[in-house]
Amino acid sequence: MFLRLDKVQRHFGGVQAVDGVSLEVEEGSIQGLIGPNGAGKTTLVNVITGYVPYQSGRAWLQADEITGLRPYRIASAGISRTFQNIRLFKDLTALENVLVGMHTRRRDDTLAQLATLPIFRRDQKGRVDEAGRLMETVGLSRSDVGKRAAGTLPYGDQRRLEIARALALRPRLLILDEPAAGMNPSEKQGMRELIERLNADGLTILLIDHDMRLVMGVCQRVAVLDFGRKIAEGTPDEVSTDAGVIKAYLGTGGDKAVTSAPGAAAVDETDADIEASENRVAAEPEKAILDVHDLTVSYGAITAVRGASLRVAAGEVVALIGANGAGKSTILNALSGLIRPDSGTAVFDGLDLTVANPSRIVRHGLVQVPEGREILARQTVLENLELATWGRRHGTVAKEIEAVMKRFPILGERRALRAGTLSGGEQQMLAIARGLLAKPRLLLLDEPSLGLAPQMVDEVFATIEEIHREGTTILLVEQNALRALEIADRAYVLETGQIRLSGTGDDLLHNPAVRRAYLGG
Amino acid sequence: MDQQLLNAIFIGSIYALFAVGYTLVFGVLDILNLAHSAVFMFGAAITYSLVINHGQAFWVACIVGIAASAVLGLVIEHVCLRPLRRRRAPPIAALISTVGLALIIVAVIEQGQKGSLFGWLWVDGANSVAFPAGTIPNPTWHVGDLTLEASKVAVIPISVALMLALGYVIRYTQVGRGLRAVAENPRAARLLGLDVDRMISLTLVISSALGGLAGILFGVALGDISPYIGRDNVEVRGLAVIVLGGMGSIPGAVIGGYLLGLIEVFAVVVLGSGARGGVAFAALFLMLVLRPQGLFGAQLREKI
Amino acid sequence: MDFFIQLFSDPVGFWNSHTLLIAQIGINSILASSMFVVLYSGQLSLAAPGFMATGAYTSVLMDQYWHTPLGLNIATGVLLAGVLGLLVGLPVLRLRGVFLAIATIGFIEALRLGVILNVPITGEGLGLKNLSADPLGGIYLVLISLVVVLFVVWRLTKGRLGAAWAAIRQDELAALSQGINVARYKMIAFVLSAILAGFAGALEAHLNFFVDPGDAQYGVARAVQILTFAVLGGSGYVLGPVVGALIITLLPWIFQAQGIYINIVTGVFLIAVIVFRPQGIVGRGGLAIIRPAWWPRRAGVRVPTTG
Repeated sequence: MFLRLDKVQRHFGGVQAVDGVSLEVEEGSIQGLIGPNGAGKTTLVNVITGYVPYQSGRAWLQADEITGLRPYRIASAGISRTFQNIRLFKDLTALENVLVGMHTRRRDDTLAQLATLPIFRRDQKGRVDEAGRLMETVGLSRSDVGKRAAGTLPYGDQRRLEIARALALRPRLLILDEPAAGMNPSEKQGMRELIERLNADGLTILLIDHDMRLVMGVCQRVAVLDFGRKIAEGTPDEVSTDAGVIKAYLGTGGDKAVTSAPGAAAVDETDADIEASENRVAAEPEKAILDVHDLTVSYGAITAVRGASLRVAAGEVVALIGANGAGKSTILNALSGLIRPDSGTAVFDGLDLTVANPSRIVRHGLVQVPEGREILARQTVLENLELATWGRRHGTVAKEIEAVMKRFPILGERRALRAGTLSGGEQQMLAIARGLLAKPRLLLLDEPSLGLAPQMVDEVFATIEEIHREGTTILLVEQNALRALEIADRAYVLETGQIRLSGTGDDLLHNPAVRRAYLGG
Repeated sequence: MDQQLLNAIFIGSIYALFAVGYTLVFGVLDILNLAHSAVFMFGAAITYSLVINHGQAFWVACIVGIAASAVLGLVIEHVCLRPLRRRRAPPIAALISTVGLALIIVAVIEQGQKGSLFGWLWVDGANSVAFPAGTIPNPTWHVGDLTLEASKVAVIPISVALMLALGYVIRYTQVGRGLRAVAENPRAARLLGLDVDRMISLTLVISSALGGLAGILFGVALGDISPYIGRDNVEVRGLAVIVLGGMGSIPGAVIGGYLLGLIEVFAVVVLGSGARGGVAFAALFLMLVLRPQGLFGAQLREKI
Repeated sequence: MDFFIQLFSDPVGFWNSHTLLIAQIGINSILASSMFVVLYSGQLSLAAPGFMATGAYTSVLMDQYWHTPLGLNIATGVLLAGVLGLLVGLPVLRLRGVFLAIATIGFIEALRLGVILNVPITGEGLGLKNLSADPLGGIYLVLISLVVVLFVVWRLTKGRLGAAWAAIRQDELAALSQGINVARYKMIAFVLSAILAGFAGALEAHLNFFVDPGDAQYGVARAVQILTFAVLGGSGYVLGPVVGALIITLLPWIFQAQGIYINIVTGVFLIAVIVFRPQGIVGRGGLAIIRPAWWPRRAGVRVPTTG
């Protein structure tokens, strides 16, 4: 075996991030590693490459044991990687970035430098040539892009440059951590071709990605992680029809569960079907409390949302679904005033969200329960709740907090504990309770079921329905599409920053294109 | 020996009061406000000037001195910190900008001469001055072989009361919860409806008011007010205090302050007066090398 | 302004009347290079004055007690500074950012207040007389040394070492993924910086008849001054900190007429540069635009709400 992992284990605090994963990668193959958000994929990569220590387990690259080596030793041993959030040397030029990658192969030229020997110049010219060739391999022009600072390059180019830098090590194994995240379809296609080309030249690749279409398209074998465990392994076909995998990705639909997973039976839906469903647009409400029109949002060079429009009427539950990196959270953050859109409008009950101060937005009744919960871990449960009444000074506040603790009895019991000691589900309840205490007229929920055990997911969704019944309007962002669509009046499907579909929850629940947006089938 | 112990507690109170503000800013913003020692000096200088040159009552002068220090805190926030935050500059940038402001503040006082541009603030230039005897009531008692000067003894309850008050505000009030929320997670604080910029301004105001008061207490009790009292007495020692207690920890800063006071006094007793300065920095260095998070700080790690 | 008029109208007279100033610029420029090396590798170390003191006291004491030749004295001082750099670097280089800065402040003040002011051989607080000082002749040594130092540092940044330093400064974790032994290269930079500071310290001592253990010489004030050279000039290029040293050393002369307000001018200058030109005077790019992340990129167009 080329790369062999044996029962690798790593936990953070009480969470088993990687739980006894064994994996074998064949020489010359492309091995895929997939799994929902928080499944432990990146942690596994960090363990293999030495950034995070092993709790137990071992790893070999061919005959060399690499368990517990420092990251630079593992790189020298021939494992090269890219990073999920792109870690280029931002102020160095693109060419310099690639040159750094040649460090381990470069002789120590310090003395030649001091003497300014011609030997240095000759070597340097050879290296620059090679770096230029590597840039061209990944599809970057050496003359245009080479001289620009890496941080100023467009997002797709940064991803490619990171691969060129990784190739400069002449690795035996290349690990790509979400190389296509945040790319548009044509860029993704280019990335797919690049990976296939590198593999055709004999490079062994371990590919981690959320985008199932990419992974299923290029990998010979795929392993699936969920909650730190390997739940399936096999060819792409085997894995994509595996009931456990579909469940992990689309989520459980209550007790109706997996059998009704959209398109689970029909893997090859026709293009005509997709066309038809894409053209079907649900009747949007006339009177909207939230009106978003043609919103475009970017982070530096990365455009995360491209011209999205959506409306929410008072009393509705509207779901916003889509794969990881589709731009869902970005939309919510733009609505909360945390990031400002490049263009477009967003109005909530007369308040222009593109200019209003975040605290003004909260006071106006638009409240977000963020992804990852963002509870204040160092403060007690009670303090978290008290903070949620910020800006309201009247005497009813104490009563409201009591009422909320009655409704979430677990929070009442744990009121004096630090919020960081709560379980994930309890933290989510706390985050929702906090959101309610801010007296929202529109509650934005960002991935409330993320990383929760199935029973907790049920509980969270039951709570959401309850809140809705009591009259709060909800905009729900979820990866667990099935559950979200079940409770939603209407939903929008987001793909690479654009709204691709919209309709009633029921319509989308039975729509094969939803499956496509998720699994890339 | 008892007298030494009393001195340790007295000077420790001043270190602690100074360092509490220092560490508050670090805790909330993750930056070192190197202008804090200039604020310390500024509070003392303004108070002295108001009493001696402008004929104000001591208590009025104290209040104005503290208020002026608080205003200086706002200047620090608006000139040195907020523009850098807007640019998302690394914390090191704030180190430089606050050093720049400290230079300016010290120079302004240093240049204060009769008739000069800053003569209304200060007239004694680079000289060290003290309140003349009798300006401030300073009864002295002798208990056993202890000498108790009111100006020194009073420092202890004032500091302790203020630090307890600050501790109470931070721990038990809505504003305190807000400050802790901004310190822990500004993004979450914003989503809860907090105005983060205003909370940070408030942090600087509290921190600087305490720093200015520490300077006033120091100047009155030790009879040493000059443009350099901040730089020479608390600038780097304050660092030692907050490192000992754990950067960002308020109880840590209080205990670190008294601890440093004790270490220094005992170093003088055991090793002679020359050892006073070196011991503080050796303690600072050793603490960072052996336990960088200090006595009360939490360990931090970078996310990949 | 007389200062500049003389510089251009009467360069020889200028040289003769400002020899000490020029020598001080040279010394400060070497110190700036020492700061450059650590900043270039991403470490905020303020330890330079400690190593300067090591170089200065070693060379002066050797001259006083053993009457050894100047070259040997300076070389020994530099060597000791380098060894001390290694010893200090081993524990402190695990620290990052502000924590490294504070630890190095602890080091220099512990050395100055704890050792230098308490060991009889250093003359304690009174300082040390240096009878063999050569203020006027020393200037040639300083200027030649400066040229050599700048050349060496410049060449080093161009090679494998410099590439590794730049990578570490930009992103330590990514540098590790490229096979760079980060701890080792950081240590090389720290020791080299100590050597350069020790050298500057020994040279400076040679220019003065008196070694003064004050704060402005070997304490925090000096450390901050050296840091301002690098911040003002910019730490991306070898010449940046040198330009910074030149400006800071000359400021008192340029503003001679307003002399007493010099620190105010320096402070304003420092804040302006860090706020508006974070890359320093010598560096790529223009002025920084300051705008909060949540600030509107443009005024939002208000549309009448339908709700």
